[in-house]
Parts: sequence; structure tokens; C-alpha cells
Amino acid sequence: MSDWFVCYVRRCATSTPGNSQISREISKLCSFERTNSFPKVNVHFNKIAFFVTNKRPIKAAMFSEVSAPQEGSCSLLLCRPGSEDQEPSVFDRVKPAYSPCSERFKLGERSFNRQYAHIYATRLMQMSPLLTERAQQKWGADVRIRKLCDLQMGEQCCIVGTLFKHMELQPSILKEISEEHNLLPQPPRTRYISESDELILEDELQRIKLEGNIDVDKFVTGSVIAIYGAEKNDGKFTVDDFCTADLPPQAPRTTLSSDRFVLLLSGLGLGGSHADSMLALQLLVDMVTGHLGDQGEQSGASTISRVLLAGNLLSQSTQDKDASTKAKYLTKKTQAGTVDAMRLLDEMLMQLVSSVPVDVMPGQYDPTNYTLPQQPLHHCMFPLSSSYPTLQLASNPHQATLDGVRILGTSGQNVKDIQKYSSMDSHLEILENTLRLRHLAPTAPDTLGCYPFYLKDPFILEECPHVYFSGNAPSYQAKRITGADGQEVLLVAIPEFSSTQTACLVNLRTLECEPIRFSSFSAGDDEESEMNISH
Amino acid sequence: EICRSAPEQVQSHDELRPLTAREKELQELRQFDQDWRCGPCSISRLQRWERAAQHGLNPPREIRYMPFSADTDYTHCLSSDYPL
Repeated sequence: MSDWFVCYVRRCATSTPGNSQISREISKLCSFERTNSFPKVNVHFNKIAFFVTNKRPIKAAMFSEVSAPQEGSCSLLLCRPGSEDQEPSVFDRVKPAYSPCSERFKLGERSFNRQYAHIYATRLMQMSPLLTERAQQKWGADVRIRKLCDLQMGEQCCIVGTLFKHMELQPSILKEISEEHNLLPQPPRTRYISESDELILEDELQRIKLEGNIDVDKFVTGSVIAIYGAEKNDGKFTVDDFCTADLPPQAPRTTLSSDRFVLLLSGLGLGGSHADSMLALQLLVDMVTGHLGDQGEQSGASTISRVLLAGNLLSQSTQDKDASTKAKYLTKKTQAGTVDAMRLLDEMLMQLVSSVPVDVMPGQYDPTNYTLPQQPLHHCMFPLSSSYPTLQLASNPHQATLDGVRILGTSGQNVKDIQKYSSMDSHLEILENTLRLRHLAPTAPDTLGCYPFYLKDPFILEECPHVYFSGNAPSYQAKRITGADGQEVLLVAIPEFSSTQTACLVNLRTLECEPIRFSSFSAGDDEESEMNISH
Repeated sequence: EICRSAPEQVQSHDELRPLTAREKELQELRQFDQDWRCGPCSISRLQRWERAAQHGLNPPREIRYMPFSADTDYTHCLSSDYPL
């Protein structure tokens, strides 16, 4: 994989293209050999940007190869402005067939007069037959599948149910308010697991403690699995083996003839106190809309068929709750932090939607409901961009089919919650885990806020996606996995843009993903800053 | 939770009389409430029936066509009288 580095240099006094002073500035910043680099200068409004591509042998499917500079194009940029009768080259953006399929995540009338027992009941109802089938595939068609109330001591059998992990450190409101314990509220921790955690399996009527060949740390409450083993004398079930529902069936995708890309982006963090990534964000918008680069880059940008924003468009600092606790006379003239941030977002989106279709998913810090599934942001907050039909306000989780490629993902709350209640650290590992469990958010509703569904559990994956993502990861990760029945899935952990300035480009033809990083240098640091060419 | 086994006929003090149609239907509804395969009861009977039907549990078809709107005893099961 190769990275793009787009850098802003100090605005030179003599800004005529091709000036040798500019090349000298550029060569000072380049810390690698110049033989293969193409310093090009594109004067755009008041900015001077240049692209330095590091040409290494890479497959043709990479975005950087698709938009690689062509022979002689260098001279096109560095020549004088063209005359009137010279036709500017216009690149049409590719228009793939798009159909959103997240109806299951849209809530109509909401009733909260319901217990959460129903969502667990329907989850077990839906997953039981799947697990029974998997159990028979794994341990033989004649394996005994028993209900917990029918267990015989010592008999090898298979049980199917929902896991409950009993954790000492899990905050319990009952413990906190109980007077006999005299406990102070627990400070929030990053992880609530401990050595003494226990796994318990529950079916429709009973529950039983599990021990044996099962790694307690890797499982979370709410996962539905099948266990093979036997009940021993002490009333606990000894586990010999287990299996999950694994990947659901996948519809084959149509093979595309040309490269088409989707840009995945998350964690913009607008309205935050640190504006480090604003420049990088503007660069990204300029690149996608084709305002940067020469003909090669612009035609490359036209292969980006869609942009998907996976949550946390606003920064956490906009969620300042002081206004609700302060006295009214102090807060009369102040407005919520989200107002300015949303205006920024609307302006940025308008630049994007005028050129490319955009899916906007809300995240943890965005102004929509807290519980999953988060409803799409309201269009009244986007006065400028909502007049464009290319703006698609989506729910979280979001599912869509783009040219036969099924894309499904969340803004990361499900993954972060599992991280708190298990020993897994890598967002990608957790993402793969949820796919193999066939459930987007097993910890909902236990520790992750969720709407009290009763009819169906919409987080159960019924069809296997081709691209499965989660947003707001600490770093970029991507992996291709293959299922037992030949399903192929590209897993992507989209990094948080406000801290990493990295976005992901997914090639819909080859199902490969590459990161694209926009780093910028301020005018001050010259000699000290080195070009970071690591991945 | 009171666990009842539904008797075939209601025993009154002096004589055994056959159940009215309404009583028969209510009895069938109570049987349906006690079926553990269809999940918890704290939703309306129609909703619970829908859920059971959607998940292939084959609940009794007659329940679907009972006069739920006419009679308040029909809509919810016993435990829904207790507040959440």
C-alpha cells in the first residue's frame, strides 16, 4: 500500500508555477530520494498544495495507481493558464446502482412501555434453529440437543442458549444505592473484566453455570451459542466444545468491469477545541470533489462513487451538559455547542453533496437519540445540503447495496462496548467476532442502550454483507475473511479522522481497502518536521 | 405467578354446566399465555401471537380471530394487571 501525502507549503511570494524556488522548498521537505517523486504544483485559490506520490510496484486496483500521474501531465499543470477556446476536461463521476436497505433500523412510533425480556426472547427464538443446525453440522446429526430442564447428569449433549457473564466489577445500580453495603459510586473504568468472571447459559426456562473449555474473557453477555458437554455432579455444565452461528448466507455479488471506490470516513469531530484536522478535512473534500491534482488525480477522484460518514461528525466536547445544570440567567445568551458545529458540518457536506452522493450516519456524540438503532439526523439541521438529493441521512447501524455489493456497519458503539466487557483490544477482532456470532450488538440491551424490540431483533445478521465496517476506531485496520460456505467479507475498522486524518477507500470490484492519509504541516515547523512515510 | 391447569368444565357449587363460548375462548387464551415457547407475556396477546407466528411456532389460529377489541379481558394476559 502506498500513502498519499498532501502538504501545504508556505505561500511563496513569487507563486508562478514552475518557479525553482518552490521546487527548492519542496525538496527541503522531502526526506526521500527524488528520482521517483513527482512534485507538482497546483495553485488553488490561496493555497499551494502539492502531491508527492511514492511510486512502488503495487496492484492496479489501488486507488493511488488508478489516479497516478500520467506521462506529460506534469507539464499540463505547470504551464500557463489555457486560452479561452481550450476545452477543460470534465470527468463524469461513476454512478453505481444504490439502494438503502436499513428499513429494519428505522423506528416508527416508539413505545417504551415494554420490558427488555422480549428482545432476549426473540433473539433466542430466531437464533435457536440456526444454532441447532450448526451443532448438528459440527458434532454429528445425531447429537442430543437438550433443554436445560431435561438435562441428565453425566450425559454428553448439546445445549443452546444466551450467555450471561457475571462480572464482579460490572457497575450495579442496586449495589450502589443499597445502604447495607455503604458503597460510594464506582469510578468509571476502561474495562470491567476480572479473574472471577463466570459464564452462565440461559435458555427459555432455566440457567446453568459453565466451566471448562471456554475462554470467559472472550465472550460477552447476550451472545447466543451452542455448547457441547455434560452436566457434572456440582450442578455446573462442563464445556468440551462450543460453536457460534457463524456467517450467514451471502448473496453473490455482480462482478464489476471497472474500479469503483467508496470512501469510508468517521470521527470528524467538528466543533472540538482542537482544529488540527480541519485542514485535512478540507483537503479530503477538495480531493473527492476533484478540485485538487492534475488530470490523473481528477479522473481518479471521479471513480469514487460514494462517501460514507460513519458517525461522530461532531466532537465530544459539543456535548457539554453545563447548560442544563447552570442557572437560566447565566445561560440565556449562550447556545448549545452543537449549533455551530452542525453549521460547520452542513457547510462541509454541501461541498461534498454537490459532487458526490453521501451517506451520513450518526454516532455517539451526534444530536440524535442515544439508544441503538440511532435514527437518522433530522434534515432541518442541514438547510444548505438537504436540498441536494445526493444527501442520504442514514441510521446507525446502516445497510445499503451499492452495485450489488452489500455494505453494513455501525459507528462503533457496539465494538467499544464489547471492548469494555471482554479482553479483546483490537476493533477488527471484535468486529469479526460479532460477525461470527451473527449479531451486530450482543451487549445490547444489557450494557449498550437499545430500543425495547419485541417482534424481531433487528441486530441479527440475516444476510452476510460483503463489506462490514465499524467507525471511530483508534487506528485503521482491514482484513478479508472467508466463511465456511464460501462467503467473502471485507472487514474495515474505520479510524477516527480527528486524530488520525485517515480515511478508507474500498474498491467495490476487488473488495480491497486502502487507507488514505491527509497530513498537513503548519508554516512554523520547517526543519524539525520529517515526512512520515510509515503506514 | 399462579400456575393453573385448566379444567375441562367449571365446577360450580350445585351443578356442572358447560362453558360458554366466551369462557372457552378465555381458557384457550390462558393456555396460550402459559406456552413458554412463545416468550414472555407482558405484551398484548395479539402482539405475542404475531411474534410466535413470525417465528414459526404455530400458535393456535383461532386466537387470531378472537374478538379482541370487543372484550377487555381478551387483550392482555393476567400479569399485565400488575404495573411494570
